[in-house]
Amino acid sequence: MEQPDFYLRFVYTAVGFLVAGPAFGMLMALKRREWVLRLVPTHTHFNLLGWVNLSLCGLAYFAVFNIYGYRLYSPLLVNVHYWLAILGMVGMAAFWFGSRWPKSPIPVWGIWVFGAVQAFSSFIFVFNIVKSVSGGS
Amino acid sequence: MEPFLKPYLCASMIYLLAGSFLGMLMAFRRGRLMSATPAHAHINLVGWVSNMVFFLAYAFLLKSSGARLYSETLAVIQFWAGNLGLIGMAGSMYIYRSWKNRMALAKQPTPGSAFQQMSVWMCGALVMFSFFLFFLNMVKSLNG
Repeated sequence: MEQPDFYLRFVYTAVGFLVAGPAFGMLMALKRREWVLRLVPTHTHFNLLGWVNLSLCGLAYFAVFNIYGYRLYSPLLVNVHYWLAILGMVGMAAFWFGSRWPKSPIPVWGIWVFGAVQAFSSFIFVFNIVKSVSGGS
Repeated sequence: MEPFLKPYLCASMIYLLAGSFLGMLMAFRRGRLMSATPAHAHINLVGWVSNMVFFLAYAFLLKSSGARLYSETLAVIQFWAGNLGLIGMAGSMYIYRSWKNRMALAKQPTPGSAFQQMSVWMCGALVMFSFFLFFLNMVKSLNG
């Protein structure tokens, strides 16, 4: 069976977020004061969901399918997981940043909506791994 | 997959779902669930991230580097110590924070805070102990 290499997409994207997350951190260090308050959740979630979460998901896919040789339950779900994770994270970060300005018209509920998208993408990842591992190698 | 590795994979994914759901709930309830912030952070970082890193480290050690694992028993003890410690720590953190915030709103001192702080500290020590076991097992395996 051909070894899947979709994990690379997760790792490459994670490295992209590794550049973006610390860039927000540098911006906070430069601007200080109110910019720190506006950017803290965006900075932490870009680093943790973008860099840590995406790279771990990519490496977990690599370990389960390439090292242990389990058969992937659904390649489509891997794609759905990837795009929903990015959409959820970027949307959440944008709403967080936008809603923290004084008298901002951007609603706070956007954070919850995109957070739900992010949580749903995690559920898809878990579902796909569980189905693949229980299906055998 | 080695039997002792499956619990690491399963636990990490359960914490991922629990941590994400808690975060979503915090965003939904806005300011009313901010006492859960330390629990949310620790469930995600110690539960999801650390358990998955342990799983990957053991998997790569056993399958890719060709080294032999020093002790499977240590890995099992590490799993239980780390996870019991984390559940206790996250629970104590949430109870302590919400109790403290409620008492602060009522402008009253927080009774029993020493006990709750001690329980956070003791469960945290159990988590630290599990990290030490991982370190020991890895060093012994790589030098073995």
